[in-house]
Amino acid sequence: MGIRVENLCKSFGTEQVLDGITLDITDRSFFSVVAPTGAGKTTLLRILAGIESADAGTVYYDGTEMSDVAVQDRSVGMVYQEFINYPSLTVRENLASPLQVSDENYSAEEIERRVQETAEMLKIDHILNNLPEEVSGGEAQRTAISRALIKEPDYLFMDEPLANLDYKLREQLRSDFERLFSEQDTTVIYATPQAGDALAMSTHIGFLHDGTIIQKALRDEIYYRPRYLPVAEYLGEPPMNIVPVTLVQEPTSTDRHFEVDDDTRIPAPGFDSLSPDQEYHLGFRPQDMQLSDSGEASIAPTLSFVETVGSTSTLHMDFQGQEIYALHPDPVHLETDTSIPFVLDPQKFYVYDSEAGDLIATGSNIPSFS
Amino acid sequence: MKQRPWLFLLPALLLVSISAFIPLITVMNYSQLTLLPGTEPYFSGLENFVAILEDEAFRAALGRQVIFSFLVLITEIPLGLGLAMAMPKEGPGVGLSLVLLGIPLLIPWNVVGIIWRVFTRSDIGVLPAAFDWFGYSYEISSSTFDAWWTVLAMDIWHWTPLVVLICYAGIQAIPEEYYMAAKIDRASPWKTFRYVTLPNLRGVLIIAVLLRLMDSFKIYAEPFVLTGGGPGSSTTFLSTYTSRMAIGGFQMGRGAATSLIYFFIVILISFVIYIVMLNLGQGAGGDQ
Amino acid sequence: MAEIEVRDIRHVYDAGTADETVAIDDVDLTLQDGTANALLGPSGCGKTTLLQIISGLLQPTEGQVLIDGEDVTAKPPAERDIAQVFQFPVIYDSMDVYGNLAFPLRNGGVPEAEIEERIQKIADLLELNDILHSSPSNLGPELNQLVALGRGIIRADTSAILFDEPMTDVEPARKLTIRRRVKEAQKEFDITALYVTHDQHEALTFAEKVAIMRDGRLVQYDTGENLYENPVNTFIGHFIGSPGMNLLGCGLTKENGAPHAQIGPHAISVSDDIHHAMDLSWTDCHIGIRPSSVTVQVADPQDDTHYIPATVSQVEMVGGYQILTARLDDTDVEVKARVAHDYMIDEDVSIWLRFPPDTIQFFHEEEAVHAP
Repeated sequence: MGIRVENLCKSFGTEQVLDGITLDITDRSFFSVVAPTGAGKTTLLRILAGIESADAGTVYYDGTEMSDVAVQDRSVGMVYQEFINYPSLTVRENLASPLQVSDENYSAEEIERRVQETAEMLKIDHILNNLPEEVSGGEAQRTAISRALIKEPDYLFMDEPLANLDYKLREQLRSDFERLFSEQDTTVIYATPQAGDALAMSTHIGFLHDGTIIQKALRDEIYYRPRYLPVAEYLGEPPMNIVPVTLVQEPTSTDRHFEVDDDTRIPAPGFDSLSPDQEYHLGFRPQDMQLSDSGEASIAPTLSFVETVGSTSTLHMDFQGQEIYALHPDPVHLETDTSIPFVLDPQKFYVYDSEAGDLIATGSNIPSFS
Repeated sequence: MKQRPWLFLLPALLLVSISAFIPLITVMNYSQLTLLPGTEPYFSGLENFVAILEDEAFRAALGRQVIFSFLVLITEIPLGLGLAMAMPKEGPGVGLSLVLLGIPLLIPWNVVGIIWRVFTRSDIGVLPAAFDWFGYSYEISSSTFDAWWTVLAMDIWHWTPLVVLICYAGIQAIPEEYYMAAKIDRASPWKTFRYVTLPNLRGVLIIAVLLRLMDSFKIYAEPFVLTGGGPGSSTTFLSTYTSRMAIGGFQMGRGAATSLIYFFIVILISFVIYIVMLNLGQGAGGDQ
Repeated sequence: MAEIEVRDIRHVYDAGTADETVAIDDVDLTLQDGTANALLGPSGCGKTTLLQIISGLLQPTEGQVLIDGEDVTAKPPAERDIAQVFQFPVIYDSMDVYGNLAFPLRNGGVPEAEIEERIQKIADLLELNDILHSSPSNLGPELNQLVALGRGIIRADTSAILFDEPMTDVEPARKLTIRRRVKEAQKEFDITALYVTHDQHEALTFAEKVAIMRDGRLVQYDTGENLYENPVNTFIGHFIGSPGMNLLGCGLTKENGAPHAQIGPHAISVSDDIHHAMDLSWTDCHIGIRPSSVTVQVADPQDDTHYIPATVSQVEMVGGYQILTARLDDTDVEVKARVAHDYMIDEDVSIWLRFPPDTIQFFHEEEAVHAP
């Protein structure tokens, strides 16, 4: 019952927003479309739901072509960034409304049963008799989601539904969504610019770049093996560090290293498949940068500032005019504007082609998927 | 079902073509004919247009029209804006002022004319009696000056409330934060008006100016009832001139040509004002 | 640059009517000269009201506002020398950026030469040089918010700057840059700052000390580290940290004459200090432990009784780490624990958890328990 999309194109005026999207969304998966704001996520979602029409291309639901099926006749639900509820109806009436207006003539008992069930599932059963303006933002958005879910749609589209919520609620809902939808038959298609939201909830993630989905994979796969630089530079909190390097063969031994400049040489054991004297982009995650105790360092960027939230410190550093992040699991107290020595683990390296930008080698500790 | 959004546009398109497009084409057709009662119409090209543009009466009516609209705009817009700013922002006063303002707008044009006609009659009118008391002899039927300012006053009484309502809605929509920031920035009341209220009302003021311009240019019923275009032709505006030409003078072709010229003048002036106002004060340099 | 103090502030909206609501009650707070402070709390906790009382846009029902010891409660905003940056960028868009920055100075009658000098300094600091003569309407919310900030701090006599959720309109990807420039400006001018937000990340990264409000009351005013390590009650424990502190309901049992914490069949060791403070008559008790302090082990620890068996119920990727949610065996208590981003573990796996005693907080009737 998944969705298949073939060669979808859409432009607004001269701007080509979607440029030949071909995509398979697995049945019952939680699929996130991730991209920066303005990349066309919302347009893609609307075309998939049938609210907007494409210039070219075909959408199939469960193998059936949907171009001629109006959105009213599709089994879809939609949740927006704004909390859209009927202001004059109670939460209970809001939930019941999609069933009442439907052609399928639900009995009063059936409606009551479904309202109760859905409300319990989304933990809004205590506010059923309140008006939307009397409930909190999180509850209002849960009401909107319940309304979308109550008809038990095959496909639920969500367009940044958590964007307007306080972080504590977002945290809570992220956790709830992950649980809720792993038990549901609904296929969820979720658009967000927040890498964190997608990584926390999704089973599958697709990255939209320049009008196409450049990588679509299981959540773990796209996180551990981002196939292209734009994906690597976006999917992570903070994102992966990327440094341009040259692979150099030591003249006197079999050792090789990645050379950034004369002062920075990063050992490169195990990258035998790469050719020496070639330029590459070296990637390493902020979590995998270890503060050096001995003073011996693979890389020593200059500390701009530290952000400590709870027990986690994010170090913002400058390395030859480039931003580098390191994530430290404990609060650190370091002098800004000094260079901070780090040891890098080559087993956790990513190597990208410097021109095409695709992943050509990884360290041995990076999990592989096939 | 195929999606056919253009179907929704069809009623609007039909309506516009019946109400505007078809009459306009008809008028264009007429304007190039010589149409006199009792004779066969014949094609006379641009003759009608030339005749009108050379007609002294037309030029005089146009001149009066421009002066009248100009006076309407420079009094009604500032007055309306001022009243809107003076209106209460909340509380029971809001409803009361809105109702009071709404009354003139609800009265049909010709009724307004009749009210003012009665108001200014030399035998029973309140206005001449009042002026008499002050020693001024008010003569609407013989004094051009009296006729002019009475027509103007009537228009201001009738239409300023519209400007007030438009501006009031615009003022209500300005976020309170702008005024808070101006207070913190130690801005004087004048600077607050100049840099907060006025720029935020730009769009609203464009609408008010255009509406009043087009309406005042088309003014017909009120002065027609009040002064009949006189004394002499001193309050004969373009619309009065046009209708006299077409209906009074039985010259349908010439009347049609006048309408077209009239139509293009309104469009032209509106367009110029729109463009000027749109660019006015947009990101001007670091002026004081 | 000034010290700001609010004393016994109480504010009631629509007093005497049916809509009467107490927005702020009994708030005392002193912001030291030149410090960066944040006011943090859930929506509707009264933080914006307090901010407006400090800036003078609102008169408190009761209490006083003091700037450098002087009572300014009755003074209008213009006389308090306090700048404010609002939720959305408030810009005079009929003037260019330069005109906007110059506006408060010109209103105060500062000579043009001095104005230019001040503007140059601010523009360098906030990196606005390239856009000084652009119209703000073409710049987008991020740059406009910087211009609004610049306008706030341009007056040499600005004693403090208040921020009211200034990042609301800023795109997530740009927030960091903007936040950084705001922070640099605050440091450079040594200006007393108060930053209102509902986002702990913004609060903790901007401020040296954070005041947390709830339901109109000030709950704790402390450094980020102390808020995290020593929350005064369960609300702070939960509210600070992402995810918040694990708050595990527990009972007290007597063992060798002394009270012990017990979750279902599992005994939990706490530090000696807490241990001595416990009272067997207590009923409403919680153990608090940060997800980052919980030790996770997959191998059976055999006879080591410090480990509690549990079953993984959820694995999430949050903030660069993975958060495991695990249910303690034979209870319905769930615990969140932080593990590395590449720690490979699946749901429904059996694990063992350890709560190091010196990282455990103890709460009685929601309040933190300290050494007697």
